[in-house]
Amino acid sequence: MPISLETFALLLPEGIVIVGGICLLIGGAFFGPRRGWVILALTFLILAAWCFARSLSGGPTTSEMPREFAEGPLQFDSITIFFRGLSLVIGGLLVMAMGGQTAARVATEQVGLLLLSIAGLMLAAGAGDFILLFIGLELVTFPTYVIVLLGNRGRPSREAAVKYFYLSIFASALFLFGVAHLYGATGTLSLRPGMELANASGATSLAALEMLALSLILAGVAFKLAAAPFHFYAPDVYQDASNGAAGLLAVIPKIIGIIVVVRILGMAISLPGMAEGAWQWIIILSMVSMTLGNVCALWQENVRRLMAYSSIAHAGYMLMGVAAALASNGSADGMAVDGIGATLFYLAVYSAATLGIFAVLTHLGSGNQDVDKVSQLRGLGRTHPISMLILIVCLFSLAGIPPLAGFWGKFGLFASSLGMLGEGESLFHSAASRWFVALAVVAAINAAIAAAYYLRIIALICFYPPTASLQGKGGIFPLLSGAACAALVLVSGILPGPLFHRSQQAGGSAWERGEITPSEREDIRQVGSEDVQKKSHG
Amino acid sequence: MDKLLLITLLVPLVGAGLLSLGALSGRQAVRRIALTTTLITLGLTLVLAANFPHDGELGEAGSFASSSFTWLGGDSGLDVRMSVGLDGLSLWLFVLSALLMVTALLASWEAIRSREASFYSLLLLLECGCLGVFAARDLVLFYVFFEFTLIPLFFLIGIWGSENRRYAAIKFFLYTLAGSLLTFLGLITIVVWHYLQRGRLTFSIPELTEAISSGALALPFGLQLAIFLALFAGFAIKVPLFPFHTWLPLAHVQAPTAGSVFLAGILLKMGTYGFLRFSVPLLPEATAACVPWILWLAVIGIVYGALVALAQQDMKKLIAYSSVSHLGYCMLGMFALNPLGVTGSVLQMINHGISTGALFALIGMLYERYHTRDIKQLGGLARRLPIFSFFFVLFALSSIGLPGLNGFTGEIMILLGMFQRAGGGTGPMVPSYLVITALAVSGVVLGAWYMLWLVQRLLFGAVRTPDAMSAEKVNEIKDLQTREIAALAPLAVLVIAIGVWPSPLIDRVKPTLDNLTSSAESRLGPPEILVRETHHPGEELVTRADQP
Repeated sequence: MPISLETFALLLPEGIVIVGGICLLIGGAFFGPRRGWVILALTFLILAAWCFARSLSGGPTTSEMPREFAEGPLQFDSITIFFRGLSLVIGGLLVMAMGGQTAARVATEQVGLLLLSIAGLMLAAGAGDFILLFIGLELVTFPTYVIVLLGNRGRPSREAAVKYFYLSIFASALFLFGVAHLYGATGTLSLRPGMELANASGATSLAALEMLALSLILAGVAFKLAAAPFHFYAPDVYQDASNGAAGLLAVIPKIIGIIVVVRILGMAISLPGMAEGAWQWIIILSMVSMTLGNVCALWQENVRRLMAYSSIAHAGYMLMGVAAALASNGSADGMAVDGIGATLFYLAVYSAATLGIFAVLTHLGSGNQDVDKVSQLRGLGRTHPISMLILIVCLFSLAGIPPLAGFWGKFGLFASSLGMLGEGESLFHSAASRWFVALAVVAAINAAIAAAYYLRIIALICFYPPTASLQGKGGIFPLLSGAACAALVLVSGILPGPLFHRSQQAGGSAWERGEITPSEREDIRQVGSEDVQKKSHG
Repeated sequence: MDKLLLITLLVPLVGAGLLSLGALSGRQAVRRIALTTTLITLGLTLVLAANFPHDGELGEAGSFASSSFTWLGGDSGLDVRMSVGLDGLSLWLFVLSALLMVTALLASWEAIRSREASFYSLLLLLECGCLGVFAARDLVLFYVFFEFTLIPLFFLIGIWGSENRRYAAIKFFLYTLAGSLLTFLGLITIVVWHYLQRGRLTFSIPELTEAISSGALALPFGLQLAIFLALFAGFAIKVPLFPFHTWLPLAHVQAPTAGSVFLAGILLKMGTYGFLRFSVPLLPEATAACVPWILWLAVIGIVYGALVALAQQDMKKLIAYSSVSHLGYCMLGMFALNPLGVTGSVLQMINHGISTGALFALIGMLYERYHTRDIKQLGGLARRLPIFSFFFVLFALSSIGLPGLNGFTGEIMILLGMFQRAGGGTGPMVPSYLVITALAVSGVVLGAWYMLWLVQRLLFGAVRTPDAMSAEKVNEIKDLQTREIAALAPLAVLVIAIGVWPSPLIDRVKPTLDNLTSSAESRLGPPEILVRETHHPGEELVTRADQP
């Protein structure tokens, strides 16, 4: 692919964010922490968002580009647009939530690194091959190690960083190992569906290798998502990290995990043998994650540990949509609600609600004294009414109670799972309908279990007189961030249309990237097998 | 008229918003804004009711004052709509919600003395939710309102309730949420099935009902049964049907007066409403198959609720258990599945809302005066509080089902309907159904027992006052004020009006009910067919013995 000025113009939003990150890292070393840095970081993000918005209205899209580019490592479709937008919004909220701690010596560095992470998310969202995807993944992950390490908790922060570092490196290695196998099996690193099959002669004979490769990749992704059985690090690391860093860990790795899933899915589905069994494994992962996360969260006294288990459970929910999408095998028939689209919506809503909670916790703490125990929130309603409102909105949204956005997330996931029923005499007429009915029922029961611990917090906040007064010295920025999160959750609960529509669009294009439709993919598949036959005859 | 229904739904929301401004100008302003809002809402619902077709025939549209626009649309044909409208089933429950809110608000006028602005805005949100449940014509919209009502009630119980309020609030919320999540799955399954069979993704309740009753959409029996159980999980807990009632006495007793009034008057009806709106018309075969089971559960609830009510020392608990018993009648009439029984069931929903709502309000007023709910602590109130006693006796008699008062009309229709289902008057009898009918009648006797006994202990006999209260304090206690009388008088008028002349109510309700239940009723068939099919030797003996 020829690299020209236009290529860079396409990456302008990412570029701005990276430049901003570097400016903050350098400037922070000379001028120390000030409130101005947060505003500068926000300015860079807004500038990037402006460029992004301009590219939406008038910029080039993949389909209009020369063919060499359309097959290159970058792709611009509705997935890219969705995740770029999500990363910028969540990034801005995170900057406000984390950067408010002007007292912390290294707050500026944290924010600078955070910007690099956000740029990584945006890069990965536009990845058209495994190389760029992996670069994006690592650009996201590496700054988070440092951010966790720079937390304001001293020794525990270091412990959290080391734990997270080793396990995360291990997961990245698994992912890379899987990619290597996949390259060996298919002969391409491209993520575009259909294409690699046309290139890869004799792909069928390597089905076992492809399965192994995808399992390894899935393991790496499950680690990022904190889905069972790769969740063990999450409670320990969250507990030891500061509230801001824990908020970052609860959101950013989830987003990058889902980006990887969505990017790989279109390619993976066209591998022979993929459609038959893979979704059952995802269902099992999903059911185990949500049950384990929710049940363990019931007994937690540490608020970050509780949120860690809750994030494990939500990872399970997100996998529901992935399973439905895999089982539907890329066909739109019978899919009232696209599974991937439902997952994307859920991800966005989960991110906003979780971030809102951590932002408020940051606000309620002070520079060197974090809110640790759930019981510290007792009677918060009397002393901090705004924080109370934010927490109530975010917690009810996580519990999936209408009219908040979390309800529409659950609605989408339930609808996409039950969309796999298929016609038959009973609910149990086919394997798919048995599995998906079981999944939906488990998810519904889990939603009730989850409501138990969210309600416990709400009851603690609203129904009790305050005992120990929280300081609330975390600054105004975290509170603003929390309020923005709560507003997002509330507004997209009452008017879910725009976000739902965009996520469904993005979900749909996970299958039909570029000009290739499912029927065309079928053609390619046939052509590929004919090639194989010709070669074997010749 | 079409926009009026939407406006009615929005008024409480606007009121709740205004309250946050009114909070700045003190307690009096807050209460006035709240009262004005509920009165406007009530006025609007009355206008709607007055314009409702008198014979209940709604024609093609199938609903009155309907309006609809897309809420959540999508490329794949996803179309969740903000679709509202009234029909015979929902009309009176809709009006009752607005009416009881006025009572609830007046009853908590003096009782609530902390964080009034939050209290009244939560009440208004609750009103909006309840009105929405009955007006919704879209599955998802219905569910949104159905669940949303939990949030305000959770806070009402948890913040302004009595001693054990925190536990009661959480138990109430989780218990009902767990059930209704399964209900949601069931409802979505119906939609998905409709989509698979007919290629149209719709959440519209009238359209789905129409598809089932016209035979365009056929759900296989196994699937129907599964969906029926899923819906049952949510609705049976809400009703509450025995043995899913354990959350109810706790929530009722701990809730503040307004919460109890609304919980008993309206929220329980959402369960019976759900059964009649969804389970019966959408799943006719499964409904027919489950009739015996539900009838037994209902009658166990009737007798059990009455017996437990007999043993109570706490007035609120007594009324709470009497609700279990009365809602058993609703379920009995509904699943008798004949026009008489179902109409009686709907009447009973309204009557129970009026009389039990009023009784809870009265107990609240008594509690404000004597600070006790213990029956043993009080006695001879008729001499001290004559107006209070008048209302109490009236609503107690209405709750018992004294002929001439509203309770009677519903109960007699239910019992007659059940007797018909058992085969009475048409030929061969079904013994098990006869037993159920007999047990249900015994519930009426038990109902009279616990209610009259309560009236006797509370109002008559020697004057007794709580030990904790000093003599001067007791002497200061006055009878009901104008405000309290205003809260109760409309309900009292209704008690007598419906008791004497229920036909305006019934006329508007009946056509809708016939539409909703006809397909399930035809699946059940007349009783003699049932006997022939089951063919137990014992039943043959009965039929022979009947024919001379």
